[in-house]
Amino acid sequence: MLTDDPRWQRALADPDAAAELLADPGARAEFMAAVAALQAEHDDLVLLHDSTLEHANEIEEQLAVKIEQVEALVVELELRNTFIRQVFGRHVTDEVVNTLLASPEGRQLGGERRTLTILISDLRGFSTLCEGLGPEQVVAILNIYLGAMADVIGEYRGSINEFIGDAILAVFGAPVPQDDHPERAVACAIAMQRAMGRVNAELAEHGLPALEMGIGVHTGEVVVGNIGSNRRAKYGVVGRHVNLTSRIESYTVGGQVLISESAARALGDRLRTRGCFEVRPKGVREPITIHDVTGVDGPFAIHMIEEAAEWRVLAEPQPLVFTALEGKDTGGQEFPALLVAHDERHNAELRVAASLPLRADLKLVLAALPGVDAYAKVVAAGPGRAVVRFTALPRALQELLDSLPARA
Amino acid sequence: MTDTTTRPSGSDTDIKGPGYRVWFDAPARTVHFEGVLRLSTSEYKPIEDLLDRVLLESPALGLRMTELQFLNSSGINMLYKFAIAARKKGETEIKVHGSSNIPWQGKSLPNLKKFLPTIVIALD
Repeated sequence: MLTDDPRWQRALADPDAAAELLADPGARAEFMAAVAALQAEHDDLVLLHDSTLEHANEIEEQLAVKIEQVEALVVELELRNTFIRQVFGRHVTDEVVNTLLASPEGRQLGGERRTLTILISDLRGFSTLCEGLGPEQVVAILNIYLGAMADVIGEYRGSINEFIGDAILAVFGAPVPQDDHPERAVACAIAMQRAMGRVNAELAEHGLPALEMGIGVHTGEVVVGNIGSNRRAKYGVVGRHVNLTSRIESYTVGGQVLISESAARALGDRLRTRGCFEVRPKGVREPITIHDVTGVDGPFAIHMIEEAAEWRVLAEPQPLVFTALEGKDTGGQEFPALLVAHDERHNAELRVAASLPLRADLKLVLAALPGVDAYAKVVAAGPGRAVVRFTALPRALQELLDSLPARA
Repeated sequence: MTDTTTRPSGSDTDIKGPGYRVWFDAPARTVHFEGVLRLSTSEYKPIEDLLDRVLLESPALGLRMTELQFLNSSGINMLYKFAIAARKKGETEIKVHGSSNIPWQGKSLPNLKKFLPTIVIALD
């Protein structure tokens, strides 16, 4: 290379030496060739630089376009996610929505078998209550009630699967797995009962009637997943254990939480109950044991508010006739009885000729109010006497009982 | 993100790395460039050596780029330098197959002619 040659280095440093060297024709030709080679190399490098830069600019241009596209997609995605959260998030917690949005499999149809805890709540006598109310009032009641319950279920990380009229179907342990789902569900059920005080206070402020709720909780294997079509699918649970939960719930009176043996076993010694009893629900072969829950100890510690209501003994016992109901079919025989006392918790004491089976569902019609059907469940029974809890107490009957004089 | 610092695997004539593969099909005398090439200048050395070696064997060579989605500046620089070396060597028959569906190829591959006027550029 030109610059490596000591002769040319000397020439570059000393003008006299350069003049001497270039005077030699051979050396001059050699110099000119070296300069031409350097020039060619320089041209290549300039071209290389420019062409590489051109390539870089092209790539940067594409990058800028891609960034714009990504930004537009982000905006669109945010809109979609907001929409999904608004529609879906009413029923499940943000945590659940975020988990589903984050996992691609969450958006696919299909199911899996999983052991979950199912919670079903229902209002006692809501249909009867609605009869005397306008549609706006019914919706107002449901919104206050369902809103409060949804908040409680959210606090316990349950996922509301469905509102069926005044009933709520919630699951614990899906879509986000929870090891402690039975405990969460039972504690949640108690918290829901405790929240009813606030719900009824709010309803009273709006001049609306008070509500009573029963809750059934059961742990069992169900199929969970996105069920439906690609157009309309919902994350849901199906299986006989869902039906069984509904059956357990049907044995409740207002303010009660009944849970199955499997849920009770999962809680072990952290469960507080009034006791347990056996029932033989329709469509279930073996009798099942149901526990009447009063509280939960341990990390989710919560207990029912025990309200002792005082009996108001009527000065004049009220004659009535009752029919024992089989399911919701009311085709049984009529029996006479006397209503002798009642309390604020919708309990009534009856004088009856024969003893009544515990937890029997009755339809009652007071002689003083012909045509007004009340419904009640037997909560205590003895010879010639039964305590019933009204599951549907028509306003006319409530007003009548309150207006009747009590025994001094 | 793809880890470009991972060492390429494979043989001298089949260089593989995360997201890319450069390999020589000897019977067809074609070097295939595939995937996304976003290496640093020094990391292109094995590919540079592969190109130099196969050109030394025979002056006829094909470079297939139709499966090369992305090539960074260091990569195009390496290709242009290869074209300069080929021009200096003289007597080469190099043909590049590119794709006009890949935006940068339509702009940057024809520039190879500035360095090696005899190179043939074919864009699908």
